[in-house]
Amino acid sequence: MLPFGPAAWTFISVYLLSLILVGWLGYKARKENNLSDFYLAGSGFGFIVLVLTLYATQYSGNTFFGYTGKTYRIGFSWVMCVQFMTAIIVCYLFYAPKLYKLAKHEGFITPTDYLQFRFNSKVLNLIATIIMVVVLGNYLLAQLMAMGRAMQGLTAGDPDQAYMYGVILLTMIMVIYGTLGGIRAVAWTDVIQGIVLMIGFFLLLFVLYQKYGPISLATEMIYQSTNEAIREKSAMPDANRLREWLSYILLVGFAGALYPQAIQRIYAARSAKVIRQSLAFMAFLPLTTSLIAVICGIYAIANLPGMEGVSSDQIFTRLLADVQANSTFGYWLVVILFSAALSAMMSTADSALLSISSMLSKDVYGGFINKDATQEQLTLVGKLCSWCLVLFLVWLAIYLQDKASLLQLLDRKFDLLIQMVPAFMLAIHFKFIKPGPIILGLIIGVFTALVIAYGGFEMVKGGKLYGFHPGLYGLCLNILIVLVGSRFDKSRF
Amino acid sequence: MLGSVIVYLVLFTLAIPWYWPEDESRLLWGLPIWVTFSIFISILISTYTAYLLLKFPWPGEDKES
Repeated sequence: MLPFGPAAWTFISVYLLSLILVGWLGYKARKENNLSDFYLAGSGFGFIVLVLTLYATQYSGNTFFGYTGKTYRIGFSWVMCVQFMTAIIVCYLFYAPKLYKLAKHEGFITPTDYLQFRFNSKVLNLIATIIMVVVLGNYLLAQLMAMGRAMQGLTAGDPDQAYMYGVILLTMIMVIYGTLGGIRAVAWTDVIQGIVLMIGFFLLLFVLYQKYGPISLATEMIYQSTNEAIREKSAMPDANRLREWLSYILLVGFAGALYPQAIQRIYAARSAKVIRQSLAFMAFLPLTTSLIAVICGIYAIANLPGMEGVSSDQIFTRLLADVQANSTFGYWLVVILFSAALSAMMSTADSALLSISSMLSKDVYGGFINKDATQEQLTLVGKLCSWCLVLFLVWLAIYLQDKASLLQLLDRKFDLLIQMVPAFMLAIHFKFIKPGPIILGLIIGVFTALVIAYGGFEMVKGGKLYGFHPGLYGLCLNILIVLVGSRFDKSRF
Repeated sequence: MLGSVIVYLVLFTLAIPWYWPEDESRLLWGLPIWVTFSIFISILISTYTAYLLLKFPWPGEDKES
């Protein structure tokens, strides 16, 4: 537990209230009451806003808590996270240039708008929307639960109550500014949150160096540890780990580039030049963000031994508690770092929520239920969807508090999302690809991934088959069906 | 496009430390040498990606200006 006093609480409260103020400013800045204005801010994002909103959206609480914890468990090999986060930017190059041009010309608002344009298939639209909503819903749920756990670490009171109030309070703040100001509010709060994140990561490195010395010292301590389990964390990765390394690069690279909220930020850019400059900047951020989280984990291995088996998010909190020291400087650094962690979670959650509401309102309600709905009606439906979804997910986050294993069962988002690769990254280049094989490939790919993941096979260890994620096997079949099927599909399209 | 794909294949192949000896234990700049080298390759991947993004306009971009 981090002992935060009244001054720290005041700082955090002012920070959170400023987000609602930004939401109100976003509401005042709206130009029209339509989907394009609410979800894309009229496609007017400049470089600073775009880069910070992409940054804040992409790097979540998982970067702080999950990556530090993962490094603590497996050691130096987790440096693979730097490559797979960079791979996301590389994979944008496969389709973003053409998609941006199309989006500007055709006025796309959701990822499904592209699918409708390219394939004109209601079945595909529905399946794709379901997959993306499930993926984002899981992602959003994970952020809500992380917010609850963060509050548990902040307070001295009953941990269950702290968790519950943390989930409720932080989620309400997020949905208020999100429904007030739409993507403007989300992006402007991302600017604040992105700056706090960037400062937070560099401060973290500085604080760790002050407390524990240079990284070389931590490495030497690990190398010379009398505990074999600790020494092993510095060892060369074995063959299975190397396959896993490749698998992560492929899975996260391709699937991460297809996150709906990232696609919508591409739509929202003022110009292609702005996106190119933003992505060029983003290409270096894994080296400043993910790598720092790995370094945190290495310091933790050397200086906080014996926490194996503890859930990953506690490693980061424990590090913060350890560096808080007895100085005012250390205390305030940790307050800022915690604000940065909250920023990371909220900025990721608000983007996921907004993207889900856009798909539910435009693609589901407007596409299937009320095709004559006006823009104002669709925008209102989007806001209502946000509130309903959030109420459900808050309940689920509180219900699942102690059922982490169940949450892990849900954590297949990349294995599902990667099945969209043929529809987005292949079909945008190859005109011979037809909707029928795309639909069949998508279904078979998802089915294969889920069967491998949940089939209870002996060869599946740590959720992977011979080191590779189930989604990659599904994708191989998926691509084969799409390419061969399209060649032999005689339907006119 | 094909050239870029080949460059990325080479870089990502080098980023994964499969080619170092199993008992490699040397340090470089405070980290195991295979980790430092992997980070160095990551820097190259980021730099090359930024080069591609900044140097080459996207389709239809000249019509925007």
